[in-house]
Amino acid sequence: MLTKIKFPSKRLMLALLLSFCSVILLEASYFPKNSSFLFLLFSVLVGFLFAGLLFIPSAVIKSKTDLGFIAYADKKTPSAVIFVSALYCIYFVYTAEYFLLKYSDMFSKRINSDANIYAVAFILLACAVYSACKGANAAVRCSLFIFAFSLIAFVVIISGNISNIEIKLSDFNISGSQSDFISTASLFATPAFTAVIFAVLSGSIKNFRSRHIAITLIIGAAIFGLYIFFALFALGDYAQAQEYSAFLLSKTAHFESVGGLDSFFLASSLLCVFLVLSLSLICICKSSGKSGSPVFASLFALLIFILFISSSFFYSVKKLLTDPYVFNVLTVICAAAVPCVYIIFGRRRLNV
Amino acid sequence: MNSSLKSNLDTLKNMFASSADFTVREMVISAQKPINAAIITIEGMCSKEVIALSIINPLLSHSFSDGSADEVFDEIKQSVLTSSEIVEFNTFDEAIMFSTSGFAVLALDGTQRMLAVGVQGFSFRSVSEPESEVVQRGSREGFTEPLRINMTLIRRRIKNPDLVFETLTVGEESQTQLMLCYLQKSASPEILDEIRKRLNKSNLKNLLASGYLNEYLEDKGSMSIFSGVGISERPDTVCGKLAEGRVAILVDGTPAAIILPHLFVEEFQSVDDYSNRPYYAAFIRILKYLSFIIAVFLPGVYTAFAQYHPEYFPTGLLIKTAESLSATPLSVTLEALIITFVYEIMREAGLRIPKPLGHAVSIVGALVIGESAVSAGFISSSTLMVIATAAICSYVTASLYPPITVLRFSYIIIGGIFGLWGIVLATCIVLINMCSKTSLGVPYMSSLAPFSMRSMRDVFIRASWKTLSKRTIKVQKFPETEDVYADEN
Amino acid sequence: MFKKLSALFLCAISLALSGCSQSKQIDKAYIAETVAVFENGGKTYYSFYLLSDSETPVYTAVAAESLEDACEKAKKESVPNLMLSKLGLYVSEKSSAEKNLKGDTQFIAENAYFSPLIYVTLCGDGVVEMLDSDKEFGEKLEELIILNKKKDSSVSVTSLSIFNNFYENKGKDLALSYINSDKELKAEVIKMPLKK
Repeated sequence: MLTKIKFPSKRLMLALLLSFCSVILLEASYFPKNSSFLFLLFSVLVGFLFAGLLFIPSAVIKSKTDLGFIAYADKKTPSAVIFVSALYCIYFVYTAEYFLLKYSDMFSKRINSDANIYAVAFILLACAVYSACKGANAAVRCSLFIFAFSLIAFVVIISGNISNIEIKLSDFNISGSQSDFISTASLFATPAFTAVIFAVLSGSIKNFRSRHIAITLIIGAAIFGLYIFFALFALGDYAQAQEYSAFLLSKTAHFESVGGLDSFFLASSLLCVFLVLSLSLICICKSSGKSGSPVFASLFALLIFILFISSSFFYSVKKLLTDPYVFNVLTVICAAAVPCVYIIFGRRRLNV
Repeated sequence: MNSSLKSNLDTLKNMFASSADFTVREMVISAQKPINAAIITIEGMCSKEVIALSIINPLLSHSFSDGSADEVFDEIKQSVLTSSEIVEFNTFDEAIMFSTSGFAVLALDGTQRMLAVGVQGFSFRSVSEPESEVVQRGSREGFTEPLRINMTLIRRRIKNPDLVFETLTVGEESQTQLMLCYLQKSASPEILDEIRKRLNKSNLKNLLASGYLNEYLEDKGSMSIFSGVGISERPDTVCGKLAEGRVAILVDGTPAAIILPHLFVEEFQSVDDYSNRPYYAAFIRILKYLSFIIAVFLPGVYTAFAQYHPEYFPTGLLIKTAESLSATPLSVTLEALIITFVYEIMREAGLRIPKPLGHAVSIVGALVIGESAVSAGFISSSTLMVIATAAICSYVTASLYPPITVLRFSYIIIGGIFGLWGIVLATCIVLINMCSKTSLGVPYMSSLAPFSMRSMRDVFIRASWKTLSKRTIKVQKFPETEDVYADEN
Repeated sequence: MFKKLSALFLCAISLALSGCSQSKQIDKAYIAETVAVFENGGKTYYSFYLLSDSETPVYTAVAAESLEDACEKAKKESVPNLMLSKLGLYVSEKSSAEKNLKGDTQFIAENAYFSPLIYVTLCGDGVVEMLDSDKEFGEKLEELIILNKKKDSSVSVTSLSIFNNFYENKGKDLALSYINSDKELKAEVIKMPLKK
């Protein structure tokens, strides 16, 4: 049953925080050689600051009008809202594709190289369609359980690596090149996609306060920082030999003779990707005004699946769909540019 | 109805299709003008002694004043009959309803009115301890089949005029009586209206058990393997739920009450929790949650690990498991499915088998299935241990047994086909389903999702009575409770 | 009706494409817990010691130039379902280690199924023969390695640590654990020069 009840803003922030984590879990390798811990931490802070700025337009709209961006656009320009909806649908298809491709790469390289990756993607999308049909409220309530499990997984993996830490004082100097800074900062800026999810779903939340966004970003940055600390000081150069240092951290985590904690990584990565795909499909449906429509969600899931198949045959398509620069540019357009245009022109219309 | 007694009797006889248990005791009342009368009963429903003492003797020994049949009727009603329950009516439907409920119907020639006299004497099971909800420290009383006795069991515990019993009839042919029980100041009027509407909408021809109503009472679009309708055989449990604003439905002929709205966390609460010390109650609650998780996930996760991720087993266990599995002809998934299936067969057989044979069957089951099958190499001991552990854990929360069984089978199949990945994804689907489910507008996963810190005092732990008594959380006040009428729109 | 049909279609597709025939299956897997590297007749041999319930160690030896080569040969020749995820100990004679240790460590680091925390130790003559005859010997070696680490924290005892030291490249010698069985079994520390 699709509910029209508004849910608390804190719960949406929790779901967005879990979506941030999918960036850590699915990113192949983003530690440039010879970069120090403080350098990477600085890149994280810059990336999250960038993400924070992108939340501002939709936060302003929500605070002033208590509407999500699509509803606001519909109110201001009823005839042009179809173009806005189309743009956001394209954006969320890209987001879903971005994470689906990254997850499938990680799955085939780290979890099971023999598995049929098309079946994996198909089943994942089918489950996301089911979640999209149930609506944002159900997905966000489910994120409470995902958060509980992920927290346990995080604590287990981090504490299992404490004995492996070997601190090198040289890593506390800030050392790194400009190009490395740009590439790492752009990578750490990809969590900004949650600003677009917020823009679409903010109409369904209640008790919103701007500090919720700030707190979420600070916690996200802290998680990233903690993760980078362990990856540098527990794994060291080993992380360069293999991709997916989060997976490596789960492999090295142990308590005396108890190991096998990479199962937590497997589960957490799947849960976070499932949440991202569900939220993307939910936002597609919401942007088009077809919330809870199984046919509509299935159509877009099918589109995502077709793009997924084509990316495996055409490398250029895959490169385009997993490029963090392209992703960030689209995020800026959807999270900041378009809402800002509406805010500015919306004010002017009032003044006329 | 007719004024003619003969005509009324003939009509009633035809309506009962001259059934063998339709009995008529005709008599003549000696007034100034003798008046023919008849007492209509259904054989076995009334007490013959009470009929004789409270109807026949008083009628035959009373000196009636002169008057018409109507005046004699009024005199009988007010001054002659010694029964405590007398109801006047004038339709055949009511006559059928009263006579089939154990009343004796008194008809007089010359008047269209009849009297229903309460002389019930049908045999019924005495109040005993409910078998499905055994407790250590609570009451040993459970509901029985007659509606009136169940009402009494509740009334004795809530001596408050706020407690309301509302009669409804469901079932075109069976005309089964229901009672809606609620505390007027606690229950939500919207929820009550919705329950009445759903019960009236039910197109059942025969209501023979309360379980028939579950599908009509669940919210539309909230179908799930978990039930949104609570059942209890204990009057003390029902009284506790009524105090939280819930509504209980008693069905005549069923020794259980339906409780609405119903939440997931209530499956882990029992009467003993509130009688025991809080720390012990917390321990038992957490044990129940863990047992539920083990019962659902253990066989599936074991299958997934054995089939796809053997490296996750600790080394010592890995050797033993590999050795035991390599000695059997079937794959671990098939083994797990077969053992679970055989266990379900034994469980069903155990429920239905006559008690004298029950011991023999349990010995056969344990020796043949367990010991011999492992020795013969049909199944492995490690798989048997896993399934047995999950089976025992499933009885800790017996009310969740149906969904646990379905989930267990599903997870074994999913774990065997897709590994741990499939189990995690299936869990996401189940969670989404549970999180979107409502029970009369109240989110089914209330207290957990939507999370409510205030109600956490009675979820994983049981706070002290000083804390619990400060404020009773009414079910309709849970966060994100929806307007049930939105469902209709 | 549509929901039931789509659910059925979904199940059929999932079953058909899932590749469940590729499962590892614990009952068919040969799980290697230790690998020993030794020289015999001028050739380098890799011996995989498998987990089993028998009294005596179960192992298979192949002649190979590297661990990568040895894994492939072992899968082809003797143990097709060789599983290396539980590999916990890498023991190498000193002479073989000088040639193979860096390459083998690189191979372990590049493959996801290996645990990064495989214990690595060098050994003298006769130690590998003890692995062939005593099933508990591997555990004794691990205990000695752990004791060695506690005595001298600069010793690299895991493949992760060794890999990091190889690639740190600061011209220091690599301190490794060495098991000597001349008179009695004991663990020492030896230095291996790191080539720039």
